Parts: sequence; C-alpha cells; structure tokens
Amino acid sequence: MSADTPMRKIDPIIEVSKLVKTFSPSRGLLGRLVAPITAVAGVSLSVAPGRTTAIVGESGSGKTTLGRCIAGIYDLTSGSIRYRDEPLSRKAFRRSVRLRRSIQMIFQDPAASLNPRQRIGTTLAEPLVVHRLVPREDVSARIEALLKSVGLQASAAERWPHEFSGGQKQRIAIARALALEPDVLICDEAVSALDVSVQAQIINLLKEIQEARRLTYIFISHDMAVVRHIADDVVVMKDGEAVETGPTERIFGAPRTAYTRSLLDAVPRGIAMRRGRAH
Amino acid sequence: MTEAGPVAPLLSVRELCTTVSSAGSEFDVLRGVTFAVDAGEKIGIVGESGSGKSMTALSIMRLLPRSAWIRGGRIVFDDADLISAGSETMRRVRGRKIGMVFQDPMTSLNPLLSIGRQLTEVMEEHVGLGRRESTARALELLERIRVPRARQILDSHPHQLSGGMRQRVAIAMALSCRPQLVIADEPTTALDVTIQAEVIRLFEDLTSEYGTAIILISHSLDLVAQYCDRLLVMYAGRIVESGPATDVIRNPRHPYTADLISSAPDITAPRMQRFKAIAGQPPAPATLPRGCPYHPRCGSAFDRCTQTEPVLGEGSHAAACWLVPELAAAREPR
Repeated sequence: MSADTPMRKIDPIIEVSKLVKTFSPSRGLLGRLVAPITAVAGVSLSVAPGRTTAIVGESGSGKTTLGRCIAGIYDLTSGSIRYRDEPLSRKAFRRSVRLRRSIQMIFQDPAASLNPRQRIGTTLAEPLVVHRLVPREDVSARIEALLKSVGLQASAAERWPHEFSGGQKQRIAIARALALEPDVLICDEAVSALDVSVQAQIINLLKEIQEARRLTYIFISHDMAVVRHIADDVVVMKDGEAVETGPTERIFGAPRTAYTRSLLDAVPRGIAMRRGRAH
Repeated sequence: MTEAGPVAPLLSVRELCTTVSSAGSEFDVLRGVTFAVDAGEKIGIVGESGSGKSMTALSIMRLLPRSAWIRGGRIVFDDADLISAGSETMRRVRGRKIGMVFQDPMTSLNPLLSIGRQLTEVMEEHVGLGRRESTARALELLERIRVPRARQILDSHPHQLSGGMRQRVAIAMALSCRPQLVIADEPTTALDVTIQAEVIRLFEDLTSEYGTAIILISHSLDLVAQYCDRLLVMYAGRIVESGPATDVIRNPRHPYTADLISSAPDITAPRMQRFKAIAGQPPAPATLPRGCPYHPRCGSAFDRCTQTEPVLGEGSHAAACWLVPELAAAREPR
C-alpha cells in the first residue's frame, strides 16, 4: 500500500503467538465424556497498526474463534496475545477499562449489538456516559457527530432499531464501536449479509473511517473477493491453523499453498469471464 | 434464445403478478414478470433482497406461503397452464417435471426418512419404478454426483450428513426423475466456497447430460454470469434487463445492471481504493417510489423517470429504462 517510507520495522499492535483454544463440553448427553474440540490449534500472527489484516477461511476453520480470543470474549487455552506491550486475556479485559475501550468488535448481524427497545441515541449515549468520555452536556453533540461520521442524519438518534435497514443498522453498530475511540476494530463477517450494493457502501465507509482515524482492522471473512480489496495482509486459516500468511497482493497473485489456491479458484468470476478477462 | 419460431418454449411466464398481504395491507411483490425458458436452456435470475427472485420461483411452483397469491398473469409449462392447475396436477409437475433445489437442503429432505428411502420414493411415485430399480438408480445418481460411500449414505439420515453432502443429496433428488426443468434458488449460498464450486460443477454436468433446463436464482451476479446462458436482472418486482449473459455483462442496458456490475468486488482486479457503491438501498415492496423504482438511486435519472415506469422492451437483449432508444422513442410504454 501507500505510506512507503522504505521498510522501517513497525511494531505490531497485536501479536498472537502459538494460540490454542479448545472447547471442552464438560459432559455430553447422558453424561458421556465428549472429546474437546480444538478450534484454534497454535496460531501465530502479527497485526500491523493502521492497516487491515484479514483472517480468511471456510466454516470451521477457527477464524471467528481467533477473533473472539483477541476481543477477550474467550479464555485462551494456551499461547498468548499481546496488545502493544500488554498481555491480552479475558481476565485482562475484565480488569482494564482502557482495554475494553481500545478493542471493539462488529458482527455479521448488526441487530446483535443494538437493543431493540432503545432508541439509537440511547444506545450511542451509553458507552459515552459509562466511560465518562464527554461531559453530559456534550453527549448529544457527540452522538450527532458519530452519526454523521457513519453517514446517518442526526435525526436517527430519535428512532428505533427496527426502523433501519440492514446496511443502516451496520452503520449504527459501527458508530457504537467508534464511540469508545478504539484502536482496533474486529469486523466478523461484517458485510457478508448485506446486499451487494449496500455492501460496497459499508466497505467504503470502513475505509474512510480507517483513513480518518488511523484505525487497525482485523477483518474476518469468508469472501475472498471482498478481502482482496480491503486487506493489506491476509491470514489463511484451515482446521484451526494458519496455513498461509502474507501481504494481500502476494497471497492473491502467487499463493504458496494448494489450499489457498483452491480457495481462490473456487470463487465465481462470471463478470470477468464474460468480459474476457479471466481464464 | 427466444426466437419467435414454431417451437413453443418449455416454460412461458407472462405478466405474472403476485401479491402479499402483511399487517392488514396488500402489496405486489411481482409486478408483471415476463420471460421464457427453452428446453435445455440455463437462465440466471439475479437480484437483491426484495427484488422478487424467490417469489418468481415459488409462484411457478405454486408453493407460495399462505399470505401470498398470484393475482394475474400466465404460467405455461410444457403446454399446461400452471395457474389454473389443480393441486393434484401440481403434485405431478413438481418433482416429476420440475425439480427444485432450495438454499436450505432440509426444505426438501425429510429428517425422519433415510436418504435411500427419500430418493426411491420420488422415483416410485413419479416414474413408477419398482423398489429394486429405483434403488439402483438412486445409487447410480449418488455415485454420479461423487458422494463417497454412496451405499452407506443410502442408509443414513439427513442429520448424519454435512451441509454440502445434504445439498448434493437434494440435487440428486431434484434430478432423480430427470425433470425437464430445475429451479434452484440460492442452492450454494449456505455452502463454503470450495464446496459451492463443486456443487455447481456437478449441476452443470448433470443438467447438460440430461438436457435439463435450469433457472438458477442468486444474489451473486458473478455466479449466474459464470454458469448461465441468459440473465434476467430483477429489481422491485420486475425484470429490468434480460439478455444473453455476455451481452448483459459487456453492454448492460439498464443503469441498475451497470451499477450492480461495478459494485461487485472483482477478485481478478487489483485492489480498489473505493468501490463504486450504489447510494441508498433496494426499496421495500410496500413503499415503491413513483415512476421507475430505480430512479432515486440512479445516476442517469431524468424527469420522465420520476413520473412513468418504463416497461421491459422486446428483443433478445432488453431493458426497462427510458434511456434505451427503442423505449425513449415511444410516447407511451408499449
């Protein structure tokens, strides 16, 4: 990408090393022992600040579990995650208000982060008030600014979640995450459920926000075509392992593993084909 | 293609209107859908949510939910009028003459019956095969669609199979009676991309071997453009463009199609700083704007577009847009 002052070594903002996450259902049906499931099986990766690192893979690859470990939603089984200079864990998140603010997450279903019985303004005010980010008298001005930054009108604050379309709800979910002025935004399939035309809007919005706020994105997705246009770096996961890691152009231009190649080859490309550009 | 020849198309849909009632009010989800499918042809229907693509499929199959009904139009399949057909006739058409594949394979699979029983039941019922013949054919079909350990699969139940395997079985079932037409509504949307490619390939093999016509419905223009001969682009309950896939992609005649093409992320292109997004969102069927339903989002809209809705023109590559010369020349639509 741009910002090319030649190869100064930049410290990663997030560093995952040898992360293992297993889920052990204590007892199965009828009290039988159930084998633990290893969702992430020793993954190491580093995330560069101000850039977008995509974690891609098919269902069951462990990409969502990895994202949730970074977000402090799950305990780690072994290995470690560092954010700047401090270790990240579920416990660390519980102890540190600053950590909870710094790393935010948005999901495939934006409704999941919106309370259906709260007006949008209330939902957005909550983090501002809880974290005492702005004096009470400035809260509504801040909400207006937040809504504007995600392309919504100030009047949206007075409305209810159900009055908004899927794309607009995702804008609100983004605004809510931004309210805490995070460093890192984890997007878990955040544009996957949107209509194509709306998906493009949200991707553009995410890019604008990143440029304006120098945010770091961890973009979890199964959609290789979207990833090509949003990510700077890509981690390809399969069966809980990172099978290939590298800059986006290299991964797409010269994949080194058969699995990455098969993932890329499988993407339908009828538009390019009909234009006579592919195959 | 639909040349006006002596041969009638396999399926002809004319001015199809379907209405839904919801919360005490009624609105049209299909507002005059017209197209034809020839024997062996592969048609792709592409559209966003609420465009009416699934409603088109359900109307043809007469599988609409209770809250929806066909208000007008004609559906003729293999010389039979499907709109006036009784439920007995429809039962014979479904499965025997028209196969169906849905996004969720469990829509067509019975969780209580073994895979083998479900496959043979269809063939016994519709084609009148005996148990032994139908079992042999079921086995052959599963092997054809590269289901490993086919004999074992025959004895298993749907819940014992993965999503991809279930969808393969659903496809086998849809094709088991060698129907003349298969309607597949988002058949691969719930599947992983590598499995999706495999399922589509298998579809391609079987339909071309049996000469089955197919209507493939998807939100992905890249998918239908890759696989289908002809494309129908739907928006707000109507077909806004139809034509041979290559023509539609290379020279879209409706601004919506052009916008859809440019907003689709292209895996073959180098990184784009920004996508060409379409402003706004697809309209809900209950609140369609006046005039052309696309005009609020359209970069080329002018006065006329806000007043009168254009109708899909005639010809092999047609669009419902006032910018299309044939339509612009006419004083009134049609």
